[in-house]
Amino acid sequence: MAENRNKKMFGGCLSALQHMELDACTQCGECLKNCPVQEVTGNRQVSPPAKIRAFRDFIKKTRGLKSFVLGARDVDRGLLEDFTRAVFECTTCGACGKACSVGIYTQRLWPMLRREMVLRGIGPIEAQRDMPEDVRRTGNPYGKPAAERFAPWFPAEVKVAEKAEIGYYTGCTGAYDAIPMVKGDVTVLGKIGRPFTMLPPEEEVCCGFPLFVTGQFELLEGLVKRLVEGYTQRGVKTLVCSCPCCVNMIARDWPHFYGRKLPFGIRHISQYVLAALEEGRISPTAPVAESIIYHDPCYLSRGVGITEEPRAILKRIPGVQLLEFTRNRANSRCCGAGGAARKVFHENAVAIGRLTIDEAYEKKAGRLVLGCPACYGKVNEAMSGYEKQVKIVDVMELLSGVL
Amino acid sequence: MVVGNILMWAAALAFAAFAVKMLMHIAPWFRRSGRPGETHQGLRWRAVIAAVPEILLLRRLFRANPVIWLGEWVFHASLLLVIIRHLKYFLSPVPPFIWAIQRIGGIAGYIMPLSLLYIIIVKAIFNRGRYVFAYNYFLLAGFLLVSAAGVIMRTFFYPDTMQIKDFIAGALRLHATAAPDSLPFISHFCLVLIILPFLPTHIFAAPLTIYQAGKRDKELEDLIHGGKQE
Repeated sequence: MAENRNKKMFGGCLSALQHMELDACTQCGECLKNCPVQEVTGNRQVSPPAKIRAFRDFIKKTRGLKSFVLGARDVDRGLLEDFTRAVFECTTCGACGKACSVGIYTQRLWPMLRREMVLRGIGPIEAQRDMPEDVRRTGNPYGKPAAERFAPWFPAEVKVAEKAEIGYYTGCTGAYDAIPMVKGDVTVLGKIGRPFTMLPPEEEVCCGFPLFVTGQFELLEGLVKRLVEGYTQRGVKTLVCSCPCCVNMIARDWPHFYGRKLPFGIRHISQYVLAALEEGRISPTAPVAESIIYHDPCYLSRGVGITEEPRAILKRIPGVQLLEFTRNRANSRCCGAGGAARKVFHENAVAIGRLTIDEAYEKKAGRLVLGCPACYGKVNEAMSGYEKQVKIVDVMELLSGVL
Repeated sequence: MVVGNILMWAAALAFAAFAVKMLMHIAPWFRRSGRPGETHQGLRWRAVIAAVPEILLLRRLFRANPVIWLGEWVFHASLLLVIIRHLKYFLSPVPPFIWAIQRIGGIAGYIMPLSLLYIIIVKAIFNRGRYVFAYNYFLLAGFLLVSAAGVIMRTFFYPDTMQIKDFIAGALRLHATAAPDSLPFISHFCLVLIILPFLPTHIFAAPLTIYQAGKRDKELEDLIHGGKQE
């Protein structure tokens, strides 16, 4: 059965542009110097050109000239499994695409290649397979109860309106795995003083990103419609969120799965908070006399183009001396947590996370400021038991402490 | 005449293989859009204009690796000039601009093998050689041989231009004529036929993806910034 599936034409999930991108790859290898998985594993098979070459071969075997004349050839199951492992080991950070000499949009290409493997019954791998069932059962990819989504951390002094023009979406990773980050978010939102609303914990389900990025699209339409309708009923005109992956998913993909333009706008929390700072609604007063280093999350910088707002917020905190990583903004280095790869390739994620820690440590940063719950969780994990120790803090966590 | 006949059919076969390969690759480029996250794929003239220097100067490659860029840009530019120069064998009458670039095209013919050698050396020795794939070396070696044969012919064994023109004109009409009486020419011609079906698909796809990347970078500025919100 599986053998027959492997004769089916490859490339069905790809857009016209993605077919073009596969053809455009010159195999120059310039992307490799930015690939975090290459950096820690040196595994050539995981490299972007090798993945593109392998997929081109699958296409050739099932829709090339020879297959047109003589019939499609079977693609070896072992090759497909190796390819699947390689494409799911990627963190989808998109740094390869940023360095690509022909401009291939890899942050989008890899999830679609994963989708192709999912439809063939080969991907995803190991723990990634459990995510749809977890989301179906509990509303989040961690399989944790909705009752624990907000209750353990939500500050009692922050008031949430039943209806408001501003909506706040917490995101699953922040709510369950990076609590200081989302606690900082709502504390700052509360201090801004404008009414904001949230969905109740059982209604605030997964945004769909982990399912999208692992090519498991089946639940996406339902999740997106449920969330969009929930916020619409609460009168939301602007949805604010701090998780870069969620923001990316909402801005880029929700309209597709919703079927039309969203009835509200989306703002990353740094944009919303910076505007509040500029309007004088909040003002950091307590100084932080430290040098801090800000890490650009992949899906925030390369994903939705936000690089300056978090820096502008940090610079407004009295006493802060902002350091920069050598690779910063749209060229930033992945923290190792992306693309749901961390669920399976834990060692890669820790090793990649430690590269970020190393640089922060060498630059003598007092604190390493992160802006993504996945980075927050994984880099904290990478720090555990490591000889180089740097304090980790989120932008809003830091700001909420000095307002 | 027999050699001419063989070469003519070999050329037809090589060109057909190249054309079919390209068509098979290009066909999916016209598929229906509407997949998640797809960007608008229509042409936007401002983006087209912005993409022209990106494509002509291979700017993305320059940003990624200026050392390899130097060789690649010189190679692509000289290849273009050499191809235009060679049009004099295919066109009758020859347009004035093709006559005008004969001299610079001739110089480009000498520069091309040097640029290829430079690329091979940089890739093999200085530039993480283990990630250079065999196909790339095959193409580089193929172009090096073709250009070297061209240089040898032009410098030491200049063939009869009229014989070449007659032969090409016959081949274009699939009407066999005698092959030029020049072994260097026949070698040069055969090498071209060998690499023709192996020409990479990026010659057509890369300009389009570079254009799309420029447009995407521009769209990123508007994705969640600016007046579209609130």
